[in-house]
Amino acid sequence: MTGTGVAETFVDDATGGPARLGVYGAAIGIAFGLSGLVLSLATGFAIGDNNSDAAIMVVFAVICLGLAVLQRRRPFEARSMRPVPTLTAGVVGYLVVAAISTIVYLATGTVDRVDDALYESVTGVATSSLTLFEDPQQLSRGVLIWRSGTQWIGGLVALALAIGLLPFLGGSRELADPRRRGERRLALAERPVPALKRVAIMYSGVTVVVTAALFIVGMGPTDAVAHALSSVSTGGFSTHADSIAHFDSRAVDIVMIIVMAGAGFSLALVWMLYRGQFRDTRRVYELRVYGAVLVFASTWVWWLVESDEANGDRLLDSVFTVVSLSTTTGHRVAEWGSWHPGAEMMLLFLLVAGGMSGSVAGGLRWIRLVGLAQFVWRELLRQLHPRAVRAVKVGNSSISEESIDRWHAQLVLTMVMAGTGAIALAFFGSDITEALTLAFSAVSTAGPALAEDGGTLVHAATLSRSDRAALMPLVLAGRVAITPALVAVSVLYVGIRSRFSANAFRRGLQARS
Amino acid sequence: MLARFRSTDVAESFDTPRVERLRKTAPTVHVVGLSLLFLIPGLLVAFAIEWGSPTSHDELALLLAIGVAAVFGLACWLPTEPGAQLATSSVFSSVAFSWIACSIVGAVPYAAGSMFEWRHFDSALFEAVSGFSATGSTVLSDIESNGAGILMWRQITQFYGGMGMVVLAVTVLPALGVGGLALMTAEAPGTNSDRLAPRVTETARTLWKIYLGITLAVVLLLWLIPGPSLYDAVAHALTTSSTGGFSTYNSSIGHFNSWLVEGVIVAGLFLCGMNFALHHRALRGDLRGYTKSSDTKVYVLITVGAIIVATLVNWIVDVRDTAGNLLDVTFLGSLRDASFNVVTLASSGGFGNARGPDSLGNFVLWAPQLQIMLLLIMVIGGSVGSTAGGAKVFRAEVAFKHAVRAIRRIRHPRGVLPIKLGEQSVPSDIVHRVIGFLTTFLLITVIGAMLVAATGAPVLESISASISAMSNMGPALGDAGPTSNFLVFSRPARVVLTVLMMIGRLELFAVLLMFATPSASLRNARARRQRGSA
Repeated sequence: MTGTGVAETFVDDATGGPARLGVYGAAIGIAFGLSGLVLSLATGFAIGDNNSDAAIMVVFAVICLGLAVLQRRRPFEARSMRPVPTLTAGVVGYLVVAAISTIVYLATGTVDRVDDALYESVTGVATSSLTLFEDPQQLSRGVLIWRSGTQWIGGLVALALAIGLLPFLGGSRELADPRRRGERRLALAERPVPALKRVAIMYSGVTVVVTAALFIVGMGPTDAVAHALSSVSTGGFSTHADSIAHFDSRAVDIVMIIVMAGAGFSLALVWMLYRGQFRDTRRVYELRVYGAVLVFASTWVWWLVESDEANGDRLLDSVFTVVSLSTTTGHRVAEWGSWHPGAEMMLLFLLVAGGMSGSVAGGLRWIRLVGLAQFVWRELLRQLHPRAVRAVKVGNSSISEESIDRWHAQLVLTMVMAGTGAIALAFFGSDITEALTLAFSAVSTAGPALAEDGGTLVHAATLSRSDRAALMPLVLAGRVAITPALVAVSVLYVGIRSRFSANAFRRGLQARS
Repeated sequence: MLARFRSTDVAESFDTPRVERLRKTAPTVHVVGLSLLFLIPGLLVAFAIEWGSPTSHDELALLLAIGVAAVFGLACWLPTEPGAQLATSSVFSSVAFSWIACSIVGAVPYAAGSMFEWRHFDSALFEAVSGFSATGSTVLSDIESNGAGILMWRQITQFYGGMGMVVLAVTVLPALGVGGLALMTAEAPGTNSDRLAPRVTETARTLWKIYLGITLAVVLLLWLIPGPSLYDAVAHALTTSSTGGFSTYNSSIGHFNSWLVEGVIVAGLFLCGMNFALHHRALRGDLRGYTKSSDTKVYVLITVGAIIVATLVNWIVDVRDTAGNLLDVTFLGSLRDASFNVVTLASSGGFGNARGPDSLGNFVLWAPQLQIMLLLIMVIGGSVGSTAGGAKVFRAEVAFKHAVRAIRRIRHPRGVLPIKLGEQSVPSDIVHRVIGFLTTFLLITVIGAMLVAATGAPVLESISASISAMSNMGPALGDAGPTSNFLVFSRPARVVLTVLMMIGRLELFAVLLMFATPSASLRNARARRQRGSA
C-alpha cells in the first residue's frame, strides 16, 4: 500500500491499476484476516488440549492470513464505495467467514455433517446463541475459542457494516453525523477506513478488558476468553450447557450484565467514552431511552417473577435476563421460558426491539422504535391539524422522512421475514409458540425462544435439520439488518437474470456466429 | 323551551367559560344523544321477541335499557345542536363517545337481566363492546340458556356496529350532513373513500341500503334452506352482514351441521369483506370495479390462496383431535372447513362451524403453520370500505410495497419510484397515513398482548387475543379458540381486550383522539381564567 494522503485508499504496488474486486475484495480480505487471527488464538488454546485440532487450526490460520495479505495487495478505492456493493460485500464477508468456519468444524471432526457445520458457523457469525451443541464441554478448548471467535468476528463485521451503511442507509445518520450537531470532535464515521481501524482497536481493547475482568472474578482462562469473545459481540455462545448459570457467581453475573449492556451501546457512544467525553454522553437521547427501558423492563420482569414464584430473590436473574435478551446476546442464568407469561412477553418484546442503533446488538433498535413512535404521534396530530407542518424529532434531532421510510420498511420486512420463517418452522414440526418466538428470536439474532414443552429453547440439537435450514437465512438476514441481505439477493437475481435472459442468450448466439 | 347550544354562532351573552365549554362539546353531546336514540328501535325489537317468547324472562331488563337510552339520549340530544361546521377534534370525540355510550347502554340488558350480575358489569360491557365492534368474542359459557330476545339484542348490536351508529345518524339526519363526511371517515374509515353520491347523507343512505340488501338476501337464503328457523335466519344474517360472528347457539354455525347454511354465511361474509362502493357500482351494472380494484384482487387472492393451502394441508397432514386420535379427513370435508374458517377470519367474521371440539372446523386442531397463516390473515383483515376489521388489505399492500421501494431506493437512489396499486399511484401523504396507522396498530397490539400476558394468560393466547380484538375477529388461538370463549382470560385481561376491541373498530384514531375536544376546552378555559385573573 502506498500512502497518497488519503488513508482510505488502497493501491496495488504491483499494478497500480483500478480495483478488480473493489469493496468485495476488501470484505473477503478482512474476513480472511480476522479468521486467521482468531484461528491463531484458538490454536494457542488447542495446544496441549487437542494437538490434532491445534495442527489443523494452525494450517488454516496460515492459509487465511496468507490470503488476507495477498488480498490486501489488491487495489481498493474506499472513496468510491457505493451503497449496493458495500451492502453486498458485507453479506459476502459473513459468508466467507461462515465457509471458513464450516471447513474448520469438518476438518477438526467437531461435527460430521456439512449442514451441521454450516449451521453452527452461520449461527456463530450471525451472533445468535442457538448452538447445535447440547453440551459444549465435550468440545476441545481450541474449538470452543474458535466457536466464540466466529461470534466476535460477526460482531466486528456488523460494526464495519454499520459504518459502511451510515452514509447510505441513514441508520441514525441524523444522530451520528457530527456536522449536524456541530461536534466535529466526534467524527467517527467521516472516513470509512480510519473509522474501521478505530472501531477494531476499541472492540479488541474492550475484549481484552472483559477477558481480564472475567478472569479476575473467577473464570478459567478458556472460559474467560470464550465468554469475552461471545459477550462483546452479543453472540451468546457459552462453554457450558447451562451458560452463565454454571458459574453460580454473583460477581460473574454482574460483570456479564455490565458487558452485555455495554455491547448494546451505539458506536457513537462508545467513541465518546473512548475519547473520555463522559459528560457528552448525557446528551445522547437513545442512551436515556435504552437505560430507561432496561430499568423499567427489569423492574417489570422482577415484579412479575416474584409475584409468580415467591421463592427467593430473583432480582439479579431478572436484570441479567433482561439485559441479555434486550442486547440479543442470549446468555442465561435462569430458565426464563417457565417464568410468568407477562415476564416472558416483555422479554420477547425486548428481544425484538434490540439494543441501540449502530451497536453490535441485533433487533429493530430503540432509536428506530422511538422515531416511529414520534412519527405516529405526528400522524395523530395531523388528524387534528391536517395542514400543519411538523418534523419528526428524536431528542433534539429532526429525523428526515427518508429515514422514517427506511425504519418503517425495516419494521415491515422484519415482520414479513419472521412471519414467513414462523410458517416454515411450523411446517417442519415446531408448535405455534415455538415457531413464532424462534423466528423472531432468529431475526433479532438472539437465539433462545419458548420451547414446545413450556421451557426455554436454548440449543438447536432438538430441532430438525429442516428447522435449522430455515433458521440460517433468518439469522444471517437479521445480522445484517435485513436490508443488505435483500439487496444482495436482488443483486444476485438481477445478475442471474441478465446472464440467462433471452436477450443475453441471443447476444451469445450472435457472438458465436 | 330549552336553550340550544350551537357549535359556532353562539350569542355573545353565552361567552362565558362554562358556556364556551358546553358550546365546544355540543356537537359531541348531540351526536352521542342521537346515537343512543337510535338504539331504541333495536331494543324494542328485542323486547318484543323476549316478550313473545314462552321461555324468556328478561323483558324488564330490555325495558330498562330502552328507558336509559331514551332518557340519556333525549337529555343529550334535545338541548344541543351540531352547529354549522364540525371541528376536526369534535369529530373524533363525537364518534368515540357515541360508541362508549352505546356500549354502556347496550350492556344494561345483560347486567339487569339474567345473563350477568350487576357486579359483573365488566363482563356485560365486554359482551356489548364485542357486539358493537362486530368482534364476536364472548364470555358466555352457555349462550343457549339465555332468552330469545336478549340473544337477538346481542345480534342487533353487531348489526348496528357493522355499519356504525354515526353513519346511521348521518343517513337519517340531514343536519349532520355538514360534518357528516368527517364523521363517517372517523367511524368507518374507508367506507366513503369512494364517495357514492354528491351529498354525504345520500352516500350514507346508499351504504345502509346495500348493507340492508345483503342482510335481507342472507335472511331469505337462510330461511329457504332446511334447518334454520326465521329467527335463526334473521339472527345470523344480522351478524353475517356486519361480519360480527355472534350466534344464538353454543356451537355457532356448527349447530346446523349444514354445508348449505355454511355456504350462505361464507358468501355473505365474503361479500361484506369487500368494498361496498364496488357493490354499489355492480348494482348499477358496472361489474368492472371488482376486476379493476387492486384491493379486491389481493383480498380474493389471499382468501382463495389460503383456502387452497388449508384444504391441501389438512387433507395431507395428519390432524389429531384433543385426545390425540387421528381425524378422518376427506378432501371435501377439508375444503368445507377450510373455506368456512378462512373466509370467516379473512372477513373478520369469527363464526365457528365446528361440530364439537374434535371436529376439523375447530381450527386450533389444524397444523401449526396453518394457524400462523390464520393469524396473519386476521391481522390483514378485509378490504377498505367494508364491514370487515383488521388492518385492511389496502394498507398491508401499501406497507409491503413501501418496504420493497425502500430496498429499490438503495439500488436507484435518484429514481422516481411511485407506489402503485393497480394502475394508480398512491400519493405520499396517503402512504404516510397508512404507515402511521400500521405502526400504531402494531404498537397497540403489542402493548395489549403484554398487558394481557401480565394478567397471567399464556403467551400464545395473549398475542392471538390481542390481535383478534384489534382486528375485531372473535376467536383467538390456543384455549381461546372457536369452540371456547374468553372466560379463559381473567377479568383485568378482558378489560384490556374490551378497550382493544373499541380501538380496533374505530381504527385507532377516533379513540386515541377522543379527548382532544375536552382537553382543548379545558385548556382554553384555564387560559381564559388566567387572563381574567391577570
